[in-house]
Amino acid sequence: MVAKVPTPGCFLNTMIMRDNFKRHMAAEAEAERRALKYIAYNMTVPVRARIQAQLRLATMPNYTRMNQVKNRCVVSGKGRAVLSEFKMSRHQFRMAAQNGELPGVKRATW
Amino acid sequence: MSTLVTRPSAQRLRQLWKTSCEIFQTAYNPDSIRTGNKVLRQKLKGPAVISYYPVESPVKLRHIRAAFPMFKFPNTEDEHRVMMNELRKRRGKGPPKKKEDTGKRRRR
Repeated sequence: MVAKVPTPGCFLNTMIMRDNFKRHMAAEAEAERRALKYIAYNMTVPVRARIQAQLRLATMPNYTRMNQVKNRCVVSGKGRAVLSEFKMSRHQFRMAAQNGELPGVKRATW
Repeated sequence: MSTLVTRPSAQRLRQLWKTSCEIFQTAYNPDSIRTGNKVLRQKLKGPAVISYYPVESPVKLRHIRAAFPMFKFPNTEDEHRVMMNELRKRRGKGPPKKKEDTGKRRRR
């Protein structure tokens, strides 16, 4: 990866580094992508410009796409079963909750 | 009462619509042409996306140790790792012995 991107301060592994890079690149390119999408969707703009905008969008690198950003577990790096509220995967969440590290989280009984 | 009053023409209604949009500063699009404005209306979520992973602390253990040499700051994670390795070695699960290099080479 050529561009320099700040390292996260949580658990580090390859997938988290890659996801972090994608986040920064996608945020950088977000305005440009929005503008191109607007041109491509705008029916009052000449057809040639619309096609050019679409083409440019398609040729932009994959790491500039917001779709590719994935919420990973901040403690274990797991990509699946991640609760966005806690940024942790289900097992890490369970361990932390039972240790009392999550404020206001207790076993559900009703 | 309303049946006695004639309905204004479509053109007049359009004029009214247009003036109303000018007054209230809304977009005037009577034919519902897709202008792509809904793409522009969306909020940018770049900053929120970047702030998912916490920022790396500029202060590390070695900085604190260098700043306060009279105190002892244990590296809990490293001590745990060393302890686990010792336990494994006790069980006989340590790293295998390196083969001695006798100098004998295979003839190619």
